[in-house]
Parts: sequence; structure tokens; C-alpha cells
Amino acid sequence: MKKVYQGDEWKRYSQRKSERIIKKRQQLKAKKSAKSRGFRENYNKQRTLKYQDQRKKRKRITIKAPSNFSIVNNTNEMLSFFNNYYHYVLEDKRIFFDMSGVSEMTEDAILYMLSRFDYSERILGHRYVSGNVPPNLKCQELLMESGFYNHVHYGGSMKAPSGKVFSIKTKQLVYGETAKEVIEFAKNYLNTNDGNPLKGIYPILIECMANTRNHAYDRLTNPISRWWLIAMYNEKDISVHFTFLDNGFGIPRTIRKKPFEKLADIFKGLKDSELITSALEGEFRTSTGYKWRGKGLPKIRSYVVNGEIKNMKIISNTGYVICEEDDMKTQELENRFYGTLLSWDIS
Amino acid sequence: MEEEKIVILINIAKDFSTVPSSRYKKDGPFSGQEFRNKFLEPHFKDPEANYLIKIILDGVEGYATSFLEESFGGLARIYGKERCLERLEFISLEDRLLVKEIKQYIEECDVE
Repeated sequence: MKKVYQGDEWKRYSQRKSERIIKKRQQLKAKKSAKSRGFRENYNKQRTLKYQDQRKKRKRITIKAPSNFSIVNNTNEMLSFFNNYYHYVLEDKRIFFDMSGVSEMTEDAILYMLSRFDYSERILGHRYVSGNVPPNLKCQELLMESGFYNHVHYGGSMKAPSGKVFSIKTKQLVYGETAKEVIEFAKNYLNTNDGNPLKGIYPILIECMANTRNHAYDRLTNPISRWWLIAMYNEKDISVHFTFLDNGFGIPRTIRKKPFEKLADIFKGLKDSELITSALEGEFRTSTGYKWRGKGLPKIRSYVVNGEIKNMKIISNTGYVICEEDDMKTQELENRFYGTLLSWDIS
Repeated sequence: MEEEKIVILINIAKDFSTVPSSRYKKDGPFSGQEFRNKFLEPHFKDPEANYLIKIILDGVEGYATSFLEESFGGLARIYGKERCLERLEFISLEDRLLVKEIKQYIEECDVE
């Protein structure tokens, strides 16, 4: 008996059936593909428009850096420059630091620049900053030696350090080991045979780091406590220059104000430089309200009075104080300094 | 006859750290609070004990006021300044003013 599935009629039927299925599948595939192509085209079009919008919004703004790029020597112009930068950060613009006119630079400005970048990126999520290198060779060397390029994206070549700079260290907690490292660095250049000129450095650095933790930050509104430290050997004076910076709320905003001062503050009559000198003189200023606290700043001042450290400069908010052995010079700044900067020399 | 005191020797540099730091544990390692909890408080819990705790302050990088105040002023706030001054003895050949400073922190511990 002949089997049904081997017959010509069955074969013809089966072939027509499979042709129909293939045709149907191809039609379906073509339909799907057309749909997805259309969607993709539409999506790409939308994305291009979005990026064009963003690019327009983030049009690169060039801000020209002051020729004297130093916070301690050219405070008002520098703070105005950084306020300008902050203004564009808030507008989410792409910013270009034009350093082509910079002819002088100090390490405090480098620390402040890093602290502002850090704040903009961590708190505001802004990371569209670029810049060029100053043409001045000394400034280029300082940027390289300070370790600035280890804290930003840099594709250029790096030189071996000369060893005359204790490159930038930044941390969040109090680290005695870091203070010890910078003291070891200073010991290489200073004469320690006649007593120990570095005796006061360790307590000062720990006080500064502790102030960053305890006073400079309100953990609810600013959860990032961070400090930066750099030290440099100065061949001319045979001295070591220390610079410490934190980007917290600053001394005037975190110390305890007396009731009449609170009232004066409302009417803008209170000077930040006077609040800083008052805290340095040991008036009861601790924000904790406990008398046994707030001894750090008076202790730092005592090292200046005893002549153990020199050229102590403190900048915080709109206050600028230069501590001398027997006097304190104050200045009110036109623009606000975000955080606290302390710099001093030891020889 | 007066009962002989049990002498306990604490060398901060050897037993704790050469880099004592700040006030509280949350500030970072080797804080005053950590030192007080680990080395001082165990010898103060028994009010009847007849201890003499000799503390060698030399051999460290230095002391921040916050470390000293929290270690010794903080101890005095918990156990009383009389008991602290009675049981503690400070030794420093490197910085003689340091002992005076610490005693001042103990004396002024409860000034509010």
C-alpha cells in the first residue's frame, strides 16, 4: 500500500504550505524592522536635539584668571574671580580657566581652586571645568610640584619632583600620621640642633584638622568635611611655609555670637575679622557652649606670640587677620572666602 | 600605716601612639576619647582602689589641646577632679609646661 505522505499531492500541499509560512514570516519581519527603524530614527533625532540643547546651555564660558594668582597677596581680585566661577557653576555652564595672563602664583590659590572644584563636583554635580597652563615657568613648576595635577584630570607629561614641596594632601578625618609626615619633610631643611623649631607644628595641624571636623561643617547641610595641606621650602629665608585650608562654613559663621552681636549681625554691623580675632584671643566663642571647648585657636595664637611661628595669616568668610607677636592686623574683604585658610612660616 | 599604692605605668608613645590626634573617636584614629576609654577609665571604675597611675608623656609628635582636654578633663568630668588629681601623676622631660597645662584642664573640667 502506498503511504499518504509519499504521494505527489501531499508533497505539493506541503510545499505550498511552507511557502506561505515563509512569506508570512518575511512580511512580519519586514513590518517589525520598519517599525524599529522608525523608532530608532525618531529616538536619534530626539537625542540629537537634546544634546544640541545641552550644548547650547553649556556653552563654554572663559574666565580670565588674575595675573597675581594668590589669595593671600591679591585677596579681593581672586575672590571676585572665584565668585564669578561659582556663578557659572550654578548656571551649569562649561567653564574654561584662562591662565594665560598669570605671572605670579602662590600655593594657597592652588588649594582654594581645588577646594572650589571639589565643592562644585561633590555638592552641585558640576564637572565641566577645563583650563590652560600659565606661560610663566615658575607658575608651571609650582603647579607641577604642588601635586595639583594628581587631583585633576591631566594628560600632560609629569616631571620628577624636586623634593622642596610637600605635595598637597587632602583628607576628611584628623590624621596624626599626615602631620608627622609634613614635620619630617620640614626637618630636612631646618636646623633642629638648637632646640626643636617644629615643636608647635604638630598641635597646630591637629587643631586645624579637628576644627574642620568639629566646627567647620554642619553635617546636615554640608556633609563633606575636607581639608587640604601643602608645605614648601623657601631657600631665600631658609624657612618652610605651611598652608592649610578647609572648605567649611568658616570661623565667623561657626563660633558662638554674643546676644548683641547676633542683633548687630542682622543689621550687617558685625565684622568677620573682629570675630576671628576675638576667637584667637580666647574669648568664650565655642559653638558647643561648653567652657572647656574652643581652646584650639587661642593655642595657635600662643605659638605666634611665643615666636615659634611667623607670618600667620587667617582668612575666613570676609575676615582677613594677620597675626603678629604683639598685634593682630585685620581687614574686611569685599567678597566671601568659602572656608578657612591658615598659612604660616617656620624657620 | 598608710596602705601602699599600686603603681600603674602608662607610656603614651609606646602603649598608645606616637601620633595622638583630636578629641573624639569619630574625628579619626588615636583620639583623646579612645585613650581615656582604653587606658584611664579601667583604673577609675573602682572608687576604693588604691592606684597611682604614672603617665609618661614624652616620645610623641605633640599634643593638641583637644586630645589632652578630652583625655584628662573628660576623665575628671566623669570621676571627679579630686580622684583624678589624686591618682594621676604626669612625667614629661621634654615639655615641663605640659604637666601644668593638663592639671589646668582637670581643674577647669566642669566650668560651664
